Amino acid sequence: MNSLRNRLSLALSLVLLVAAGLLALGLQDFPRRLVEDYVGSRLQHDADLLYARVLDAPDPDAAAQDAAGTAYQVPLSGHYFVIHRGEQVIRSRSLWDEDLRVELPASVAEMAQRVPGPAGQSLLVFVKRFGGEDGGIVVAVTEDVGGVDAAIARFRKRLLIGVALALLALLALQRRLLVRGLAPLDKAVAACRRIERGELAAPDIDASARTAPSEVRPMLEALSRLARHQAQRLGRIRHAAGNLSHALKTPLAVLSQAADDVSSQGQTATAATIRAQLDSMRATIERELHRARLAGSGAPGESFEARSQLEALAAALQRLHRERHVSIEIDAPECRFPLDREDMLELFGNLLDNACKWARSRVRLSIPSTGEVADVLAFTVDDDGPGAPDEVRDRLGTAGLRTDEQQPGHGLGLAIVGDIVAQYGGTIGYRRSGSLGGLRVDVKLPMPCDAGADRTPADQRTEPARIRSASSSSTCGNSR
Amino acid sequence: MRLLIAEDDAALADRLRTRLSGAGYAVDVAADGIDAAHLGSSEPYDAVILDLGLPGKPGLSVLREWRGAGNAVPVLILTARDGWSERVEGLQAGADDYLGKPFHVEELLARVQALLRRAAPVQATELRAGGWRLDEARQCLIGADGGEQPLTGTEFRLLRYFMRHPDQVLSKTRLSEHVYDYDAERDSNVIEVYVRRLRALLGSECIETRRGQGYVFVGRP
Repeated sequence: MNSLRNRLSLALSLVLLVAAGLLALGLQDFPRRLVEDYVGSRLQHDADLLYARVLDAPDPDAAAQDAAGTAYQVPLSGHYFVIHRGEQVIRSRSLWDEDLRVELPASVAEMAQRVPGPAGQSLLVFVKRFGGEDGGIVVAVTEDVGGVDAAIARFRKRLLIGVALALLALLALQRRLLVRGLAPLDKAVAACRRIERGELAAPDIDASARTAPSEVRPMLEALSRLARHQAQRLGRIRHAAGNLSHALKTPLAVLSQAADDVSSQGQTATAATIRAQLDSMRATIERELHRARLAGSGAPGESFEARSQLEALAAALQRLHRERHVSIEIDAPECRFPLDREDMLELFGNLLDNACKWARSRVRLSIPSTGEVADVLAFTVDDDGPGAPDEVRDRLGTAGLRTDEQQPGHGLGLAIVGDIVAQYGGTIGYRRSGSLGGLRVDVKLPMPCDAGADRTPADQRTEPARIRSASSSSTCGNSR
Repeated sequence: MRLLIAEDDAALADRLRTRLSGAGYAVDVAADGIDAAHLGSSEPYDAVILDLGLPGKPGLSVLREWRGAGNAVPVLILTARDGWSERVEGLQAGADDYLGKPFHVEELLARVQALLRRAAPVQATELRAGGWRLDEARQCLIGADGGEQPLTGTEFRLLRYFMRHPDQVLSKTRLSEHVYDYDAERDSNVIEVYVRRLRALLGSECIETRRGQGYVFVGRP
């Protein structure tokens, strides 16, 4: 019950139910009382008339029968009167010698009551005792209200049905209003997700914040500022790392050449010492600066568009390894992962570069379709090189391990790969490649999000090809 | 073969110039992006070593400018910014190779040599002429019997340029442009002197004279 929508809906439903109940209850009794008051006042009028006629009449019976209208003479019309005057009882003709079980007031008073009448009639009786020296006169006048009762019952039924229908309609309406009224929240959530995935550029965020309702806008604006701040900070860190790297590496390059000079002057031992120290400094700088540049899974900057960016990377690698004539196959879905672009380029670049260095002619990168639930980016890099012997394979990814001193490089690539994988909380494994015969690297990176999201359907994937055109892509993997 | 080094660090640029001159290249140095862009588009370099962090104009802009103007000179990017996203960006901008700092000079030399070989009409790793093989590392000629014939720096540079561009008419101006750096005093008569010496070494039929046009190196003796 933690949904704002459900909470509001429940509260509104309760209010509506109570209101409808009170309305139904209030309207239950109202028509009956209205009818009884109306009929009662007429009966009282008749009773007063009868009393006036009977009071001093020499023949009270005839006087009473005369005074009352024709309705009191039609048998079983429902309009009856009974007059008690001392011992004398005068009944209306319409009563046809039936008796009425009317409770008579003991003192001067008037009262209305309901009694069953002849022929199953339902009678409303008005009884009034008029005071007098001879014990007074009691007049009871009745009218059949059976028809009215039936009408009232019909009215009540309709009323209940009407109220119930109105209630249902109102409940549906409030739900709809709530859903529509809170729709901007859904939009805001979607916008937040896109900001998080790095899909939304700053102007887009501002645009969606502007169209949002005023309650949501401050939140979106704050989030947009935060995202921008985060991106700026990551950019600053990367820029600073780049500057630092530049500032340190150029002097190192100079020193390294000075070491060459020293070596050419015959002091080879000194030169070797200087070179060893320089190499160690370079390795530290390289590794630590790479680590500082990692965005990590917490706050990805620009998101990673798998196919187009991997193809650009493969083209670059083929250029760098032009002499070796290695073909790079990229089998990647055309979609966007909520992982930092630079981190991923660094990860894939180092793995593919390593594979290209060792491969005889083929390198294959494969990101298999993970089906519906993409809570992980899993891929393999295969090459057809010599592979690594078991004892070396366990140590792959250790900084400074160079299994072949003839190969150019600093033995840092796989260590950096290990750093990136660790930063993202993923796993990495090295084994013999079944398909190409060289080394296979298995990497699994968890997505920084929970389950359920839009994914590119499998049929949008194409067969492995060396060069594919880049195009727009959907989001891969899930999102919060 | 003439190279341009675009590098703002004076110490590194000087050392690189010394090493590359020693390896038989005519070398010019540009210390900022504006000079580099200008030199690269006005002088006929055979390859450029480009730093990305140049003052005045960033290296990538310089490179894009050259490529935009149809200048296909081979470019090796030599930079401390060696993240993969930067490498991809640099190669996409039209660079031919990418080397991160710090580097081993031998690796740089090997890569420059590979760049020049790929860009030249003759891409063989071994250059041969008239029974001689040119040893690029030691800058000398090696005969079929293993005998060595040492070459002076200019002789070596001139011969290498001839061997990479055989069967083409090469004017004296073009030869001096690729053999001497910007600051050297160029005298086309000097080229004549060196051609005469090369003929003496390899045989006079090796280099033909086209009157008023220049020289043609005959690839197949």
